[in-house]
Amino acid sequence: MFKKSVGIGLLLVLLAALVVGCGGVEEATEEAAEVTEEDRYGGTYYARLGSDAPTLDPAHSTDSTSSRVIENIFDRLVEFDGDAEVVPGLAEDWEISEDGLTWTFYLREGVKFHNGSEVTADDVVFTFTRILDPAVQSDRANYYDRVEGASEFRDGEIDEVPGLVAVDDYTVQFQLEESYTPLLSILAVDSASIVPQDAVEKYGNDDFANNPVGSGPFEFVEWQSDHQIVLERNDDYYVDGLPYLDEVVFRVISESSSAFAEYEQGNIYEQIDGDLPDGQMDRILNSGEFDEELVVEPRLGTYYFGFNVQEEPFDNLKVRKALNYAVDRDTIVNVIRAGIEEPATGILPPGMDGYDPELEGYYEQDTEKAQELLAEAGYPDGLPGTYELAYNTDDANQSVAEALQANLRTIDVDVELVNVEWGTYLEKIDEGDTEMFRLGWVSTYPDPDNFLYNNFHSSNIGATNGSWYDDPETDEMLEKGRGMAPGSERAELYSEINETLIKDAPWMPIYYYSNTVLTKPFVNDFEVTARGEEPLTDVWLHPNYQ
Amino acid sequence: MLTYIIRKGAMAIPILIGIATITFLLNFVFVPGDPVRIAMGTNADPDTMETIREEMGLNDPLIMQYGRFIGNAARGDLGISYTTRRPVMDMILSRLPATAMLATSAMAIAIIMGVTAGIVSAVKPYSFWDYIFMSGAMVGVSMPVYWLGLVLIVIFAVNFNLLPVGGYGSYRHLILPAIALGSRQAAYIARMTRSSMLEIINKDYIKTARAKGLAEKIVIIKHALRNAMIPVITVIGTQLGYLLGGTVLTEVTFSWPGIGRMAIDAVFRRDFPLIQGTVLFLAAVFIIVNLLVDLSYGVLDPRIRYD
Repeated sequence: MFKKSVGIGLLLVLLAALVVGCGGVEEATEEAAEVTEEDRYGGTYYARLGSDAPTLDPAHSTDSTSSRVIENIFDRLVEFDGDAEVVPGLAEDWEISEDGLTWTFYLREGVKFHNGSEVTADDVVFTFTRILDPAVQSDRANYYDRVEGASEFRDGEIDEVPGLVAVDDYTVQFQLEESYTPLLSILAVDSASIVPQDAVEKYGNDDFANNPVGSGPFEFVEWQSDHQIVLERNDDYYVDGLPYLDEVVFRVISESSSAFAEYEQGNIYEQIDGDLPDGQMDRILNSGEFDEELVVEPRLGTYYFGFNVQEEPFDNLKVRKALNYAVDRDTIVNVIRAGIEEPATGILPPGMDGYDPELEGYYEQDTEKAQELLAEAGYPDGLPGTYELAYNTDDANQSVAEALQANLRTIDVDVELVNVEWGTYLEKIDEGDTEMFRLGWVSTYPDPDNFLYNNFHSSNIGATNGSWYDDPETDEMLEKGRGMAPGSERAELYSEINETLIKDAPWMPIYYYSNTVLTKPFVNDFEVTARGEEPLTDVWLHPNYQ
Repeated sequence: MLTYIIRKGAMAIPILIGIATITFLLNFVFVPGDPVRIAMGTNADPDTMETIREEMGLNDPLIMQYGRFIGNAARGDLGISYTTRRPVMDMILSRLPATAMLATSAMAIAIIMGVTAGIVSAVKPYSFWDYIFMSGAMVGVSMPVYWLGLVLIVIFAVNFNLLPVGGYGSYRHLILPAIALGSRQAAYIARMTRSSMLEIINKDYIKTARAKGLAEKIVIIKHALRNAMIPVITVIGTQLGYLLGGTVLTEVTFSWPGIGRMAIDAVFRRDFPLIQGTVLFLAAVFIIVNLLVDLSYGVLDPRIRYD
């Protein structure tokens, strides 16, 4: 009898705790507006990384995992705002000469690195010289190719880069050999984070990744490989009053189902794009349980199937167009992608200079037109034989490829699906060993040059130009665009290139990416933009959860 | 015994060289994929890739790269990871405690569960408990560890909130992965203990022991189990070597920062020095564990000599 009473008592206590717990979440949201500025300070934010960060050295950062942490530890000369526009960062102002060859940045005075030394123009020169140094093996050295003397420095002909000049302690100049408009956006990406010369020299080029010292909102504390990375508040951050959080813990959780369980338990506070397990998508989007926590934002990227335009029959424009007309993008997006993405018939995504909404729907599904085009191309009975449709291993990619296979069958085009592991897949595309292949492009920096030059300039054949697209006129326009001053004329040129490419159909675009993010209701001011998740500088936790 | 250990140690050298050579050839000759391209991601620049390949020595003749790898490995230098640019040996050693903790805990659970179930089943063959334990062992052997892991997470972490879903740092984090991993090993050990015990239990010296009037407990533990342990120890040794090699699925499911997870990431990133270093290190661990197993035979059966 006594045991039974204790059992019932415990059950009641448990239920009460649950009720109180649930109430807490609701209250947190309702009371968010009443929280004073003072109350926002404090607490530990638990984030998730899908794998261990390959590096915390900005010079080697090429992946979104490293980037997520690096953006919180370091600052850049300029930063992106919520609309992906470039705004002042460590440089409070800058000037670009009329010929576009001299870029002068004026640094804020008194900004400190986490080791106490001041951020000066010498550190900026050191940062970019280091990236260009072949011994450092930075994967992003090519971003600064147009800086005067960069090539000679990389070839070991000279000891310093004449185009990088510290005019005085707080003024730094980039002298370019040719005008290069994307540079401003490039300076705002994580690989361009400013590092302190003394700290890099202290730890050495290789070990700096394990002892990163920046000037950003959070200071590095420890990195337990494959377990967690811990950062703490930078009390001397140059933006007064920020950040709010005392500590950020990035937990490494590789398995997405486990990560989702951790999120539901409240052990991590977010599920960022790519974290969400496919099996939970329907529940997340349609059950209503996550409505308060869900954010879906468009992202600057396009998911597509490319043709190898040098391989028969895909060297024939009419064949490429015909296949484009056969694709039912709406169904793919609504059924396979749960409607979270936007169907795409263009190449540049919305929000990017050069995007033209009038071209949207250019390849609206039209089976009859597709068949006519195939007939005009000399294939009245459809394409003979079977063609390879390759994709890298992933359930979602497979589902999209299967849908495309069914679409193409309606115009008598048979494709065989070939599933390839990522490393092998990249090599296959680089070598041109493809007929049709899946890829996606998400802009590293929000400039159409990043999108179009990489994917369609002939110099990138064998690397990022997977379609092996080689058109001298397009090359010429792309080269011109790099040097043009920002503004409507440049946007028009990119719009023209975009239109040319859509009509020349080296790709079958499927959809424009979106960012699907969940954050707990007590997490405030977590910013998701077209670039992805922004640093946690402004994020604060409801006082009940600090 | 010392001569035996030295002889075994000498035999290990050609084995390790063979393993190093095979791993090197698999990486550089047979496995497609370029580490520099993978590291640079989709945003790769052909000239930069070439510069980095040159700096990394990837453009050197294969025989030169091989010589460099073997020469350095002989001095205990397993190279620098392409991805993290940290010494491979440091990376392995930093994950070794987590892997060793998980492997030994799982093995302890497996031995306790497996040997107990095996003894009970052997002492009362074809009884209710024998059927229960051996059916359980069959399920344990057949059940994929990641599936069992997820079931344990759903029950103990999500539904009852008794233990953490995953992570590392306290004994509470260790319980679920150790059970998930240990269950499978327990199943092997239970089956081996049962069959080995059944063979011993009908021997004449067991009948003699019983005839002497010894208590059944002493007959089973001291006379039967000790003699039945040699094949069981072999299984335990092999499985422990395997567990120390990292248990990728368990580590991934429970976010456990061990060697297996690091190795699998290295494979996907084509981080050849890290793959080679890890394989070589694990081969050495396997050889040492096997040597210890060999030596334990002498403790269990004094008739075994190492001359």
